[in-house]
Amino acid sequence: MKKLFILVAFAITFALMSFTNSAKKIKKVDPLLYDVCDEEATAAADRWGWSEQEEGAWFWECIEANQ
Amino acid sequence: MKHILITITLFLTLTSYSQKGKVIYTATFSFDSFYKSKGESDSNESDKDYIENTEDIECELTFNKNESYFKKNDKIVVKKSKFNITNIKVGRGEFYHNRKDNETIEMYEFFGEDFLITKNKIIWEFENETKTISGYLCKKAVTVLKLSGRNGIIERKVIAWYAPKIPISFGPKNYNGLPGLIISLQEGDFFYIATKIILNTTKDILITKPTNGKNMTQNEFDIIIADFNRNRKKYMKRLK
Repeated sequence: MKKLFILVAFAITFALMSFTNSAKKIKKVDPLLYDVCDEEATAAADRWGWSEQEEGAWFWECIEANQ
Repeated sequence: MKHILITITLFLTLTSYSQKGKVIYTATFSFDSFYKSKGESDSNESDKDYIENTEDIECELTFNKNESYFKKNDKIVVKKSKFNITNIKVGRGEFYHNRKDNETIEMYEFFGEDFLITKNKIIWEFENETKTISGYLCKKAVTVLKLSGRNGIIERKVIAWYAPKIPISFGPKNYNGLPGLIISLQEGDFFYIATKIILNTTKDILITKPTNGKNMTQNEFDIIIADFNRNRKKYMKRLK
């Protein structure tokens, strides 16, 4: 059980690390745009009851629509 | 003898026409349904941008005997707006389903990365209610989605209306596995309705299982995206 837990933790850490590394492909986001999208995504998720995936999509649509 | 012949002909017609085809769905977000479920009598001023920018989106489902593929219609230009709720609800992903393996994979591009997310299996509950939609007698099946959200688990009721006369077990997004094509589907305040059904197309429909992307389960992807949502600033700082 302990081994399984370590394996799962390792897999998640690895996935998060590789995800972060691959993010280098994206252009730098203007900090002002980031602040606006971050705040609005949080508010929109609360208002419309969005899942994590929907909130992430909203944030990304906001960045892409304004870049 | 005549009855037997009619039955055989009908059986052959149903089984042959259901081998391949295409279904166009219109996706709609209902503000009326949203306000009703929230117990709000009317829209408030802060929703104005959403109401003005939310538009219906056309999606297409193609299928052959064992596989289906669901995506937004490429030919229709979807207005790029953070305020188009329908666009958020339909999502950024495309869906591959294999009936034989009972496997659904969502292809999802996020933060410059391609993911292949194996969706959780849907367990349907069948109800006796029937309704005629677009000329098809439909039966009702329901399920409850449990999604990770900012404030914990979100439960979203899903109602599917499927047509037993069209023996195709496919439907929009990852909604599959019913004994008939899904003609209409409600996911919370969000609706899909089949507006065009083309069965037994002459053209062969080749669907291939996606392989380009990182494989993970829905639960693993939820952990990644929750980490992103909580630490967006940290992720943004790493961009060059």
